[in-house]
Amino acid sequence: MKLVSLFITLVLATLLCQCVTPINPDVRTLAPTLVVDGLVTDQPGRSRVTLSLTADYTSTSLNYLVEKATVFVTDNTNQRTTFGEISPGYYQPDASWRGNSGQTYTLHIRLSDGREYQSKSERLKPVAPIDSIYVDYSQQLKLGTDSFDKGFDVSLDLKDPANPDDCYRWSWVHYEPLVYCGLIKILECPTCNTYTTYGLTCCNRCWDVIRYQNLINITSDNAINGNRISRRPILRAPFNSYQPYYVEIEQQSLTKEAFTYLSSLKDMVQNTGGIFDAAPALLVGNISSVSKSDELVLGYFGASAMIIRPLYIDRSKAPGTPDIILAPPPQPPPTSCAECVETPGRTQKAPKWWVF
Amino acid sequence: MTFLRLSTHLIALGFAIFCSATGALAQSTLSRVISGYIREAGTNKPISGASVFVQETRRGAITDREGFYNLTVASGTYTLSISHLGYIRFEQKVTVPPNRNLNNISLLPDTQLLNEVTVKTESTDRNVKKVEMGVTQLPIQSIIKMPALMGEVDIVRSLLLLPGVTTVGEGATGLNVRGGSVDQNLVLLDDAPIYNSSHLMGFFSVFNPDAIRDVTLQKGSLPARYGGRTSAVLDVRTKEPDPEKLRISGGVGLISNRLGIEGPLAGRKLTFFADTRLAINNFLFKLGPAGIRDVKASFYDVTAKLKYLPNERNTVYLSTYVSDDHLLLPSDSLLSVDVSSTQTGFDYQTANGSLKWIHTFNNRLIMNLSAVVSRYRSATSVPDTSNEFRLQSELLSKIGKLEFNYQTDRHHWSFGLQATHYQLLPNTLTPGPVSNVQPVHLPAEQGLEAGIYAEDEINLNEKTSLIAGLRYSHFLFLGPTEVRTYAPNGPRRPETLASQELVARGSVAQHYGGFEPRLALRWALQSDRSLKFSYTRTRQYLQLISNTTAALPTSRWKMSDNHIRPQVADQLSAGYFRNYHNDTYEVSTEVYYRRSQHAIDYRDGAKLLLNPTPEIDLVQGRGRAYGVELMLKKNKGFLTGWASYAYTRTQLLIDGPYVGERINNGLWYPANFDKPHAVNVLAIYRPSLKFTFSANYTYSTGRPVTVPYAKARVNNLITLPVYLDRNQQRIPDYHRLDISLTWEKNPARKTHYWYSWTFSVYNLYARKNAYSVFYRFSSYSAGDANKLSIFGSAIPSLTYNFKL
Repeated sequence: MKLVSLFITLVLATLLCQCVTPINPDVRTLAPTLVVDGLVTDQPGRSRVTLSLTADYTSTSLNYLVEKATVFVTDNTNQRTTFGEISPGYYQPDASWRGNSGQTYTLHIRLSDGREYQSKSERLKPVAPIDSIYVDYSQQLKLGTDSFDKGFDVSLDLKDPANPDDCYRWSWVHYEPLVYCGLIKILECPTCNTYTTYGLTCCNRCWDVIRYQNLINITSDNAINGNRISRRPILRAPFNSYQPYYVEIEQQSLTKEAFTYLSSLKDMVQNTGGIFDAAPALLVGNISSVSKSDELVLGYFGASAMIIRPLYIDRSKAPGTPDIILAPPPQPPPTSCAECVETPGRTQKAPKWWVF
Repeated sequence: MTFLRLSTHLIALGFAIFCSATGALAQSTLSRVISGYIREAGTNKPISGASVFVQETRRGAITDREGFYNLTVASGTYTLSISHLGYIRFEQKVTVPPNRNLNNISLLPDTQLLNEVTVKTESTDRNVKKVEMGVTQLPIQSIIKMPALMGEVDIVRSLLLLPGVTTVGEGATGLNVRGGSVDQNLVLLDDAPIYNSSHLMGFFSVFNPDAIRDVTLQKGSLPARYGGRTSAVLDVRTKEPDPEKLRISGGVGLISNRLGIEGPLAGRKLTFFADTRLAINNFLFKLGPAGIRDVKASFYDVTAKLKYLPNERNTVYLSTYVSDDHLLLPSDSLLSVDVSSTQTGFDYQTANGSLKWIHTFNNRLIMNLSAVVSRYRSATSVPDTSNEFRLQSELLSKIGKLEFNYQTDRHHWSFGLQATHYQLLPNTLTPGPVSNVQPVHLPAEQGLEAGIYAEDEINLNEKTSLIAGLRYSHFLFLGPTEVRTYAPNGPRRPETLASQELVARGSVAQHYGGFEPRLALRWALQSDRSLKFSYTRTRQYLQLISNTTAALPTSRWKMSDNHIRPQVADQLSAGYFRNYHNDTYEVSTEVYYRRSQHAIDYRDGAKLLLNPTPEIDLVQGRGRAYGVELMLKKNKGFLTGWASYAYTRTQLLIDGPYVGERINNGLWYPANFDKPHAVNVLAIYRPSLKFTFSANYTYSTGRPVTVPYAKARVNNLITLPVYLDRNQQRIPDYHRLDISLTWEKNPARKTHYWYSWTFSVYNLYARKNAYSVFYRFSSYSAGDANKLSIFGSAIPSLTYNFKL
């Protein structure tokens, strides 16, 4: 019997190792092509258009941004809204402007070299409200270790309206309040070679903004039309502190076309090239050149109604102990402070529903 | 109008058969007949391909599939010499008249060492002597000797060692034969169709080696009795039950355990066998890494046959085959329904039953009448309460066949009728009791496929023989169904849907049909060498539609309808065959060219599951495949085996009038299983009765993949790879060496208990063959290509077999 079990172990050890090794296939190139990423929403400050160019697949750089373009949207009443360039390649309308549910929007772009592009029109569909949000604590043994992955699973329910072709997208933004806005290294003694790291407290209130928009969490009501979408997973909040966890959950409506585009995008990003994956193909969105109909243009311009729901996760009553990340000690007196620098990932502005 | 034309064709064909048959009868009365069955002594199993030689006239015959032979001679006394590899030669003095109609002969198996070590593919000179081409018959004894993955003797995998046979990758279902896709092979187990030939997605074949007698793969000239698939026929036949005594056999392996029983039920007239295989591999996954610990996989299959032999003229077989697979994956991977789930279940079942009656009217005319019912069912399911559902599809086919074989000294006629009724339930989604999922029921498809054929194998003279056959097949797509019409001047899209019309039950919504000529010609240059040529046309009315590189067991079947036209393929092949050293060595060269019309592929981004209008996502075009297959085979001696090389190409052209109906920009592109170079070597060394060593080596070009040209950043942070063509690059080449060692109890020693141990190693030198190539998508770093290997190390296994 011992021989048999040894044998099985041997087999498993060898068989079940799936090995991933890098390879170097031939590199192919494509002339830089315009990529449009646009969204009109009914929330002020959330409409945006990004223009960039494709990069070689092996290129390490970020995509090249397209500056100094003229960007505007028109709606079905021929109302025109100009999107100004806020930062290179990033265009937004006035902070107060918002789209209206039921309207259709079309994106127009004129590049600095005169080439013109236009999107198909997108209808801003209303979105059903979120019914209830659930928070469940769970912990699982981490692969190959004796430590646990502890966290709070957030999921939600909503009642899908009876009409067909409702499509949804979820994303979230977490605001993490900061104590230290910087670090300082101080010599342990005047002659030593070693430093101690101390935290520099923030001069004013500061939050790290953690958003996960690159996960494509979408669904359609194809399978459940008119029923509840139940226990839709949204995020997993880590259990690394007893402090409440503040997150804003965003629920968006999608047109059927946008849903099809995003689900193809999702398939393509998750495609592992295996034999049970679909053959990859060119994914073209709803943007085309005005003058040259065969010119390749990538990306999608969408219109979404958006609901934002704040959520506080009470982490104080969870069973077990949090996996606290040890912070450096505060700087000994005389103390200084670090500025909270406004970036896409950090802000001084308190989030809308912050209560502490 | 077409109906009228069809019936005219049928009458003409029937008349032709009648005339030829009567003509042959009239001619044969002038001579005397010696005919009968050649069987194995003891087991009574028919020996096909045995040679019956009349020494005085220096002429002879080869026995057919049922072991039947027929000779026409002038009156006199003759010495018959009956021989077949693996049996002791038998001589018999016969005097005619009177006619010897049932001159049955039993051959004793040759237990001599030399013959035991032989890889038998019927008679050794079949290669040169038979008219047909591209046919390989492997008896189960040879398949068992080949190294097996995890000790599972696998009939389908063993065929991959033949030239011209490929697969998309390890773990993919089925075979690709001479440029045909998986669903273009007609897979038959005792006349019943098998729609999915794999257990556990694609790792093991559904055939239980204990129940199988032999496997025939026809890849070149297809006999006219086969139809409905365009590429190849894999005919798997089960063993004949042992009429002598009740025997129990079985085996214990890493993956599956086998148990079988066979023997007489009521004397020698009623015999049976039943073989089962059971695999529950949950415990194997539990020992694995956490990622796969919750995978549950199990399968079983039952193969059984009842044989009733009331007298020499009649034989009745009742066969059944049942197989069942269950898989539970701990994620919603591979799930194509829009709900979230913690687990996904896959299950699929085959249930086949067939009844066959073989009647011998006289020494010339044999009739085969069979009725087959076959059901294939596959399902995807989610067990989570609030999203619980089961998405099932089912294909039910009922087949009736009547075949006649009529033999004279120079002609071998076969003719018959076949009819198949299909009922296909494409997708039925059933929610659980408290589930939020809405039920979906895609309407059933009904079809009737009928075929009539006649074929004659003619020995024109000593040097030349030919098989000329003609098959007419017709397919009716039956109501109730909804016929959709799309705007004539535009692509087939949801927005161009013009009208929908309901066709009532029993009415014909669409029909297709046509002739399928079959021709094979052999010209013997000398007794040990021949040139052959063949032409085959085939039509296919039922296809698997799948948008994945390799089809899943749950992929959808689709009948030809008003939009999807039947596939038609023409294959031309030619070959040169030569044997050396008294048939010890066999050398063959075959070339083929295959052209197909209405080859089917899917539109970029197609969704085929739960799609009520699949024609929108399917496109049809042309296909071509060509290649050269070289083979050197050693049939006799302590060392047997073969080495083969094949250069094969398979390409598709999908060039519709609209942009969305083109693939690869409307240019030819290689099919997913296009692997130009393939080398296979199999060696079986059996120095004694107790020990066998075997090894096989396989090399092939990597399969084609699509690689990105560039990357784009969309939707904030997502990197979108930009693909401009299809299948223009390849994954790294594949090669592998397997070995197997078998010790068995001396089979010559007559004892009650026989056993054997088989130790095998798959992928001996642990090559990390690429299973897939994928790209890591990150907006911050270089896109890097990676290959994933499964079975990336040497896999040993141990199997124990016994027989009581």
